[in-house]
Amino acid sequence: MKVALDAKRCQGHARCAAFAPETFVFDDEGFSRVREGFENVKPELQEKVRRACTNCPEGAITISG
Amino acid sequence: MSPEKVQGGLEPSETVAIVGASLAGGACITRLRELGFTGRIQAIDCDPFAPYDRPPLSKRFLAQNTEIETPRWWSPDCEVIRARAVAFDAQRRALRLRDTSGAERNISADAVVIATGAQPRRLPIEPDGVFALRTAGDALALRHAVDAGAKHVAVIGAGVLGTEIASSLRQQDLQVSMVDAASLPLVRLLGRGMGARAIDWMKEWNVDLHLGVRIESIRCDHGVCAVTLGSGVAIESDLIISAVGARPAVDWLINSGLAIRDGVLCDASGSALSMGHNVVPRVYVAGDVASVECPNGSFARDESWTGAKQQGVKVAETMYYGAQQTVQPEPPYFWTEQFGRRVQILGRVSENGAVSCVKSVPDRNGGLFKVAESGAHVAWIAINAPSLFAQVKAGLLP
Repeated sequence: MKVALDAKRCQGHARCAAFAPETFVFDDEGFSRVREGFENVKPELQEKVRRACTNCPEGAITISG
Repeated sequence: MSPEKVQGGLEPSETVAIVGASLAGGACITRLRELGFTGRIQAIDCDPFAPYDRPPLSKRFLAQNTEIETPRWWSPDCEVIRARAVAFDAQRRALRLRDTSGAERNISADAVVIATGAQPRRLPIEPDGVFALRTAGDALALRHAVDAGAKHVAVIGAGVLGTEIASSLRQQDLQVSMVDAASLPLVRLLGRGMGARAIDWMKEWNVDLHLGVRIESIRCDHGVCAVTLGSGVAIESDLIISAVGARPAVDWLINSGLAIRDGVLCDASGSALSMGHNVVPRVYVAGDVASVECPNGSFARDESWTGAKQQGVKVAETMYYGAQQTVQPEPPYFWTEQFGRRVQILGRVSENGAVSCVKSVPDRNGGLFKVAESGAHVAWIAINAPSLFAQVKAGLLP
């Protein structure tokens, strides 16, 4: 499972980092991105990342594989 | 650790009917599938565009002509029935459906979720031809009217929806007049203190504001429209949009046996209540239509995106396991984008709450604000300050 975040869509709701703090971090502006090295989601983090994806009001998070 | 199913939980051979394929219903379906429910799920919705997300309709859909897309919270692993639910018998969990041709049929299910949302409230004096905005179809009709050459729009209602529409249409360079009986905009969302500041945003964007006024009459005749105020002033425009609030979509439930009072009453688990306030087995309520029992015994509707999402997930878990699951409740969250401001609200602002600025971000017309009620903190408001909001959300600011 892979995760990607579309920075153009992110509006800084900060929900992804609340649901999956290991995977998502904020930049200085308060927008989210995938933490480096966490693009391939480890099995133990997959449920959290799925939850972050469905809870993003902007549909900015995409899961594949 | 997974909880155990108790008696009354869903069996794989059973069928779930979800009335309403918007956020609450969709989140429920997705959660049921995540939990491993393999039975049949029927999603009933008469909206030809469903499922889609509503927040963009008054924002980028109008301002930037974006497309309607399938939302991330939707699970396609269900049967979508394009029909309107017109009657319900809660004891028998029997639904009467009417399709677009007018043909009716009855279906019944082992569990039913009521997630029909809300519909625009209309003023009794509104004539035909006044626009409203709730569905994707409404938003498309409005966009077509704008594309057809409307130059001046009158928006009735200075709440969240009305102000977002006004902002989006100003971005499209239309002339916008806004009318409300209230003396301040956005009071329910931001309280009076911040509502007073919001007047400046609207003036900065050249919105023709008419607040604290009474509407005498509304005329809408082949593109010649006018809102006449109690003062005698007539605001002429090419089209009129009504955005005076929403009411829960409960008309189809009048004889259902369910308790209805500003929505369908349900307990904290999302289980529907009968007229005698007893739990109706395997009938659940989620989203804008749900009037949920609070710890103090009162009932309240939560009209937020995050609230609808959480309630959809909650009823899926209650239904699947046969009993309410304990979940960490999220604090209420609401946002709006308008007049160059991204506004994020964590908590619930009271109308007369005291607003204080924690940190000003003048170069972005923004800042972080705290709202207190009787000395107690009730909410944060961030304006054009996502990094400060992120710190609040992470618990880094006291």
